[in-house]
Amino acid sequence: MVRIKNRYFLCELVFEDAIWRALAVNNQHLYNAVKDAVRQIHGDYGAAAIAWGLNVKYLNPDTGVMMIRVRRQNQKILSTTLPFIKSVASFPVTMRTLHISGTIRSCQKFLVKYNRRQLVVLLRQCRTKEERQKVRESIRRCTLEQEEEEFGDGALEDT
Amino acid sequence: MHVHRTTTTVPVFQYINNNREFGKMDTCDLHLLGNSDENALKLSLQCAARLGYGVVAIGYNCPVQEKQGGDKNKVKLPNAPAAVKLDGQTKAAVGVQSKGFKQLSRVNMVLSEGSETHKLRQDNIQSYDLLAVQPTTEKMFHMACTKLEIDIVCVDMTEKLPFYFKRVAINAAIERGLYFEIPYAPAIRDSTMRKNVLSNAMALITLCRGKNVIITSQATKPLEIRGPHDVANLGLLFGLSEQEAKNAVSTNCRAVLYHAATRRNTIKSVMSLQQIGDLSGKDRWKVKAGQEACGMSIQEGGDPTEDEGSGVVAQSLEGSEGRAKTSKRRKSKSKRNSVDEQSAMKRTRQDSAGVD
Repeated sequence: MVRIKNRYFLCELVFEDAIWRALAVNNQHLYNAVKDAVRQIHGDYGAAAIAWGLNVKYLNPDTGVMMIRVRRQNQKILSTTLPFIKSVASFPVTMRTLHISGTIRSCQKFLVKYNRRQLVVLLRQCRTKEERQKVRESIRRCTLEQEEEEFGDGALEDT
Repeated sequence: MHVHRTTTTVPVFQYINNNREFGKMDTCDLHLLGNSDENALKLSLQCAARLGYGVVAIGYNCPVQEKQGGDKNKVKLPNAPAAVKLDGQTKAAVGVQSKGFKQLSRVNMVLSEGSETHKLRQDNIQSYDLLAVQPTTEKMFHMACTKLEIDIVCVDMTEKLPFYFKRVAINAAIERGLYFEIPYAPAIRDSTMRKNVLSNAMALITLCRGKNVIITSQATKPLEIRGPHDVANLGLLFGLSEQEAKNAVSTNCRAVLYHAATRRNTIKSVMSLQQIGDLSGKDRWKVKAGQEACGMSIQEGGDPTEDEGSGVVAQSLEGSEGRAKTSKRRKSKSKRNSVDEQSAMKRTRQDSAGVD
């Protein structure tokens, strides 16, 4: 039995305005946006090729990080399409690829590392002592074990 | 040449050297449109910094001048503007990603006739870090590739080209170390532009075999900028291989920076000058070595501007990394000017107070 190989794309949604992040963008919106863009760039062939196995596995509406699964043989179709996505659910948006890997787990690992780095950025901007304390605390708690329980929700929102 | 060898080597190209410390994969976006309003430009810059670019060049279009009359109210391009200040959040992000962020200025000249090329030598044009030419005719394209002293050839890819790329011209440009620019923001903007950009880019890349191509944004809005990895992926769509696509956003852009630095800051592309006061501690020995070699006495502690002319270290480019890229050009130059060099060096010693 040969297993079906996948690629997981970890992407960040960059909005023009941070306020829009709070507004509901759900998995379905993302799925449709990706599918439409593929049809635009690669035509019917691309859309058909990618339709099998395309899936939005994870979306964190607070940080705007998401994960898309594609079959490995079609990863180039997706990677060349992502830059052309201009809007999701009619919000202007930019997709920024953070990481590409073959398993969900290595994506998780990267995400933890990435979120910890974002927290360091936050730490540099802190003004008061209490804020610093809080951010330090959450940096300390950034580990994969904790992440696995709730998958990614732990890091940025704690602050 | 022997004189230069003995007094050799301090790297002049400060910004490049700063980046060298941060590792090789330093990505650049060598064209943000700067003619839009200031606020949008600032936002775009911050966006680029956060996406992880190390070097960003802001392009200014040279205003087109009408031929008849109008000499009095000629619109002249101002000298290169200063870098835009970034806000705290961006600075924090740049600091954590442990990369410097460098802003450069670049000027785009739209040229159609050979008679217009004298403008390239004007001081206000030369004050910009990078010099790009946008040829609109086949003759001009050939001339830009073979003769002009520029860094980047940027053909307007958003429209159907009025001429075909010729292999002769492109080969000459690769030989001389010029780079061709492919913009990606127009391709994102709308469908017809996308078709044109893609077809032109594919034609170009087929002819230059994936060498000497840089991918830039030409973005006017922050949302049109894509991250370096995404841009490399776009390169795949243009017909580059994976490695070539990566090079198009990093290594090739560095080569452009070296090319520009060699064009601007050096004497005959062979050597450059630097005040002793600007030298870092670890480069001090070169002053002494130079003294011994020349039999000159330089007081190290003294203010270099006071004792006229002596406070300058001449550097040959031998030691710098730009050597490989510029060697061809330099060879031809130094052959031609080998007689001149000695006198040029003397001359510049005298002028040293003005040189940094």
